[in-house]
Amino acid sequence: MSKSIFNSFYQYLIEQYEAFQANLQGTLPWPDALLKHKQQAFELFKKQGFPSTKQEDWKYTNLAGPLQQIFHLSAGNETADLQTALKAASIKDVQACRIVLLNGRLQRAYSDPLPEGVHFLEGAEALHHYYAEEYFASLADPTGIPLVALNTAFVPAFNLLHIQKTTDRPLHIMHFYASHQASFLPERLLLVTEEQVQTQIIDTFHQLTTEPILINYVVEQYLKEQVAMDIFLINALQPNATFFHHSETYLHSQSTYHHLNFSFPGADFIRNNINARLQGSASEANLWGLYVGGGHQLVDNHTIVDHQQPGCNSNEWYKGILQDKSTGVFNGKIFVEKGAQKTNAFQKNNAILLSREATVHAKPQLEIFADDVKCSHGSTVGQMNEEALFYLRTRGLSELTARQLLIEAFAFDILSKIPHKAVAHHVMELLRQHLHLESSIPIDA
Amino acid sequence: MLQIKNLQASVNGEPILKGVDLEVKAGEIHAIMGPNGSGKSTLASVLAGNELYEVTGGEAWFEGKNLLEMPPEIRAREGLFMAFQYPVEIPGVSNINFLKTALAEIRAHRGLPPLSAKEFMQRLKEKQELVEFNASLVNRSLNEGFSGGEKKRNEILQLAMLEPKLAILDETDSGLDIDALRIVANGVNKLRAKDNAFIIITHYQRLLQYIIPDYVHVLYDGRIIKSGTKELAYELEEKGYDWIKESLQASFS
Ligand SMILES: Nc1ncnc2c1ncn2[C@@H]1O[C@H](COP(=O)(O)OP(=O)(O)O)[C@@H](O)[C@H]1O
Ligand SMILES: [Mg+2]
Repeated sequence: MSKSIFNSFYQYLIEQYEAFQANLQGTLPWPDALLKHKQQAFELFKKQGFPSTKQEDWKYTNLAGPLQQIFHLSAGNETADLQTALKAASIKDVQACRIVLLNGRLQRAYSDPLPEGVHFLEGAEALHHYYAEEYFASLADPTGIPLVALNTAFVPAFNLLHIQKTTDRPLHIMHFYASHQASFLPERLLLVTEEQVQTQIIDTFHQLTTEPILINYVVEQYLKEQVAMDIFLINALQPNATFFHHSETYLHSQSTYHHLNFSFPGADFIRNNINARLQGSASEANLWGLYVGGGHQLVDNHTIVDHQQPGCNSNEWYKGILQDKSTGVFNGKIFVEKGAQKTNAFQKNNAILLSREATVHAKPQLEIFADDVKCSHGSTVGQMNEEALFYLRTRGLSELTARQLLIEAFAFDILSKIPHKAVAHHVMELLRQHLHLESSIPIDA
Repeated sequence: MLQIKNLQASVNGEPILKGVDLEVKAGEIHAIMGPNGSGKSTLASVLAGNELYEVTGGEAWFEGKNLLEMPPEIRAREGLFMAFQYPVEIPGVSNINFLKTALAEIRAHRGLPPLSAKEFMQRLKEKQELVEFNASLVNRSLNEGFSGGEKKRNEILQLAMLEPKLAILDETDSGLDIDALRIVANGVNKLRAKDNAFIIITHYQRLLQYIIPDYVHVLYDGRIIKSGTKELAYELEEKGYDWIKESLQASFS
């Protein structure tokens, strides 16, 4: 078996590229400096194709299945009435500033006015911004990351979120998707946060149609000195969605970054690459994740915490709840580079399998090239604690209530990291909605 | 209240209970004693409904209802309570919420509305005083990080909160120092009433100095081989379990 997949979807993309580029030059011409990245990314993709399970980072995540059909390149000018969907997708009791996107494009009419000091640029404005030339495709380097190469080559435009002032309420980026045929929907965000800014961003994803879609969402983030940024990624997409997400974050000195990653049954296939590069001293990255698998879903979280400078801290904790025939994959890389002394790096991942047919593959991967380092990792895979279940039932709790209580207790370590009560409540509701306890098979003692 | 007839149970195909007979009436306290491994915890677990143990024969009736047909939670709601020999730690489950849920379920089963938050806290405070368990339970997970003694006292607190008809205490005394032992015994003595009953499982006679049983039974190799009044406990303490074994062998030879 080859290290790559060159299937009919690959062929389709290669054949379409020229026409796609020509069309782009006619409608939204990219500046040469950025176009160069695009072309290089295309050459990379052309050469490398999609990764097969022969590649270490894709060992348990077989793309042959989800990519067996053609996802068409879309014209990128879809419109939809979002009024009802917007209401349903808003999070109750969160006074957020909503930024509404449809297939990656800003829908100004549905979005809330931005707070002072926050700029959301699209189209030519984003392409010609000074930060675009500086950071586009240089934070998330397409080399060696097939899904970033794919995005860089085929994304028709990107958005630039520039935060210059501390925000007094979260920014809620609502990603809506609609298509009338199987579609490939690359989407991209460049986010730059200026010095000393504190901000919180909620990312949610919603389908308006039931045609199969392939979302390829790449985020490049640059946090300047003393920034504090929290991201809450909540993925409750529906079946027929394949979701490839790559998030690359650079932190400058004394910056603090919290990334909370929640996913639920729905999307058939989820692959998240969540990378944090501690590029300035005394910076801190915290990656928390809770994934709930169901049906035949595959949820793959690959994370990198890269300690490049001394005196940085990182904490990571991913927890998985796998039901039915779902598969979870977790890979947590910690790099401590030469000279990154006085590093504290902690990582934990725990999973529970609620069915005999659910599986999880978890792998911590530590590469440490400094000597004054405190580093630890732990990994567990378990099942529903039958002893605890019995204990609760002897106190009058029904089996269902007891199971729910125990699962929520398992999830609590991650849920409790959400500083917003209303957001935490929303995630808890999603958790309850997606646990089908009545069908979970009691595990043999 | 409880009638057990020729109860037999096995675990992993291994017979443990080999025919237990026992009758407990309202207002009574029964002590079950016996050496380690004789099947005391197995008996308690079978009565509480632990599916790990397979009932292979016999009957158990609780207030005229077939106990063995009920899932554990229905047994609890009907008024059966077991204080575990080894209470399990459940991180992430709040002690208070758990107790509130349990009490609400049991009250609902009896046709009573749930207590208001205020009533609940009032009752908790009362019962905590009753069992002299003053550790703050707020913001703590169920049994997590509790000392051995605290876990046992938490069991008695739950007992006090849930007001069962029949409480089975499985070696609640083991691992307790003398003060804790006295507190647990006091709690039980205050909770005992005309319309409830207790089965006290214990390895030692020690606890029975504080809780005076009406009957004492000796469980040995899965059977009750001797029953008597509280004097039997003193005799056992004096002569040891070997005495029972010897007299048993003598009766077979
Ligand atoms: N879950 C179990 N699995 C295997 N053997 C068990 C289990 N529970 C009890 N036993 C066995 O049954 C016998 C009785 O145990 P137990 O009821 O705990 O006795 P006691 O409480 O009187 O000390 C012992 O031989 C013990 O090893
Ligand atoms: Mg025992």
